[in-house]
Amino acid sequence: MRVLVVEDEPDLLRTIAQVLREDGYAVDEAADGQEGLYKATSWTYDAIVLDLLMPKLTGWEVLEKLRRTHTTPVLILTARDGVNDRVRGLDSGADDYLAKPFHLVELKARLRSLIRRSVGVASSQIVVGELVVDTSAKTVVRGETLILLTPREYSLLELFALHRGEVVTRTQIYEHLFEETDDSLSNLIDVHVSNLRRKLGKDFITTRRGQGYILHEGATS
Amino acid sequence: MIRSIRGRLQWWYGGVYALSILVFGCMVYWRADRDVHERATLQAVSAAQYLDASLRSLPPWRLNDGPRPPQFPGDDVHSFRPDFPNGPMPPDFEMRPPRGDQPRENIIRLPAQNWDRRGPPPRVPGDPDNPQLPPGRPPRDGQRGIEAPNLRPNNGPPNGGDRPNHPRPPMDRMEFAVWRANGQLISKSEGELIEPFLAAGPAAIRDRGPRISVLDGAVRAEMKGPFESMILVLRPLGHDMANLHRFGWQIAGMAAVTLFVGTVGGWWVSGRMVRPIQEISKTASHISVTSLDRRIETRNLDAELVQLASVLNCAFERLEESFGKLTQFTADASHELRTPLAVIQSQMELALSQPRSADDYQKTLRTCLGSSERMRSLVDGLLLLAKTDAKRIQLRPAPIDLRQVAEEAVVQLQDRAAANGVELECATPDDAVMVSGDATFLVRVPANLIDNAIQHTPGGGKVVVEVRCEGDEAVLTVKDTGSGIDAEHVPLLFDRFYRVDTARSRTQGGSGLGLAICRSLVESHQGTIGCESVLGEGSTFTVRLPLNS
Repeated sequence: MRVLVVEDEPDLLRTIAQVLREDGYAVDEAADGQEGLYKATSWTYDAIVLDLLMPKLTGWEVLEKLRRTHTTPVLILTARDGVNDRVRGLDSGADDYLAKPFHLVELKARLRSLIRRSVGVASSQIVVGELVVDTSAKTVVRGETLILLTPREYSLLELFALHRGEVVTRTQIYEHLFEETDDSLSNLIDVHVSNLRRKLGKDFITTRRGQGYILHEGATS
Repeated sequence: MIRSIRGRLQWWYGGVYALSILVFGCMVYWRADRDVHERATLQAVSAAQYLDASLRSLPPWRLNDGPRPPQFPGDDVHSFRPDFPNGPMPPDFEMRPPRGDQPRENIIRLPAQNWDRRGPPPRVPGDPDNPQLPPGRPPRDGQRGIEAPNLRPNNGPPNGGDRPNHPRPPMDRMEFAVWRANGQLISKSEGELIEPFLAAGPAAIRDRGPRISVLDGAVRAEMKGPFESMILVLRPLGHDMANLHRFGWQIAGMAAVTLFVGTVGGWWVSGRMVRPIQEISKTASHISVTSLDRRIETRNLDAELVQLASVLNCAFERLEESFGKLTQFTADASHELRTPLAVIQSQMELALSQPRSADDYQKTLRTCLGSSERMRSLVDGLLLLAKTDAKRIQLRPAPIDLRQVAEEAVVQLQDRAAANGVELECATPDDAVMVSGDATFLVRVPANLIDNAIQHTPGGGKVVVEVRCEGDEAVLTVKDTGSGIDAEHVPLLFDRFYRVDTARSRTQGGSGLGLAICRSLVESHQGTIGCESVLGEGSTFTVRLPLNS
């Protein structure tokens, strides 16, 4: 999952980015509203964490401009917690609101919930055949057996699971799993897909040549 | 209720009203009382004169006890009894009917008096009933006239049935006594009032009289008759006084009714007057923090109340404005405090979420330290501002040289200026510029200004601090060659948390309180601070403090 964090406080930006990366997200950083808007409109993000009081462009302005073209879920993160500020934020198109100071676990939970809702999944557990993907605990269980995956592998599987029954293109995978600083020309995806197939079963993920990959609803090993 | 306007209005109004009614009632009563006495006096005098006239028509021997002519046998002094059955008919009393053919009834309907206006029946001179009488005056208009005294013994009210259809009002019978000069009683009326006077005998009066005196319950008229005879007439006041008292009670009753009606009406009127005030206060009391934008409706109010309402509305406007400022300030302050707090909290959580290397922990701690530093300076600034706001700052003013203050600030910030590639200069005069102030606080003013100037001046720029005297003021200017400030921002520069360019806010630090603190400190030193700026050329901050003479 790829997330954009727009925050003008450098320390906070660094902290949030780090904690999200440790949680398996691909994180892009923006230090002000202008940069944030540019990135938000240039890439496809699963969610955006947005501060409100920022130089150059305020969070409200970013939201307003972003909402003309994009429906990316936005979580507002701000020290302004007046009712009016919250109402204004939500009315400008934000999907959730979190006041500073906040707990990182709450931030993570809200982000997960935002992403789930954006793809139309209500529960934190996605069931694909015998497989249960717990997006909260970041675990994959088949029956009683816990399947050990690397964070990247897990992220890839989560992406497939969220879009099960749909073709997931390589571009999509790059956009959702890799940060702007990652090298996207490598064959990392092929490696991760083959690893997943090895761990979950050969037929679990089908390759559509020239299109991408697809995870079938009733897929079994 | 007494302390309310309406109550007091009512009390004053009622008091004045009652007083005026009382005065008016007393005047009317006093007038009526005087009237009664005057009338009684007049009647007593008339009666006395009537008696006098009657006595004069008697033969002299009756009065002076001279020889008695033989042609009047059987006549006796004591048979002189003027007829006062209904009171005498005074000669000048307006009891006559009007001229013309007015019916008698009209006369009878004259205002009721104790005086019996009917008087004795008209008599024709030479009436066979009264053979002893001297010829009386002829009747003047045939029906009613002034009569000579009737010497017939008083034997009851005559002509009682003359006009039986008209009930006779209660009346007082006049009483009289006539003495000869030697004190021998010639005649007297029946009655109780006269008795004590009979015992005392005639009073000695020098002139002819009449002499009037008001006794308890009667008016006394005394005069000398012919041959030094003495005439005494008592005009009783009993019925008149009773009538007067009744009149008094009527006045009192009407006064009470009027007072009651007036007071109730006044209460109603004052209620109507006070109602708009009550409505204003009701509206005003409903205006609270959440509805500060409400105003009192002034459209249907009277001029005075419009004034009151406008004053209140103005107050609400100012209140709303300052409340808005306060809300803004609170939001800003909370934002400024929450941001470093958020950094600390998230850093800590991140560090604790999994085992990390020593380097990572150090980094976390450094970040937290930086954030807490920022919070500390912010809290210090807010505290200082709060203290100066509440005038609780403990200034220890002493004569200090403003040059030293400026130089100290320059020395403090020289390194920072160098680090930013800004040249920092200090221009001071040769003579000391003495001001009265607390050095610890005052040094923060140039320091903040210089710090501010360095922040807003790009590398290669210049910041000049200058101290000089201008008239009776010490002037300190901090001039930079920075980007300058847009004119629209200049008046707001010294507001708390005001940032001209939010882009600079985080990366260059600064709490947004520096200039606000400067202003507070300068103002607590009775000085002024101002800013002039040209966009693209730089800004000049000027501090003016009174010179210490």
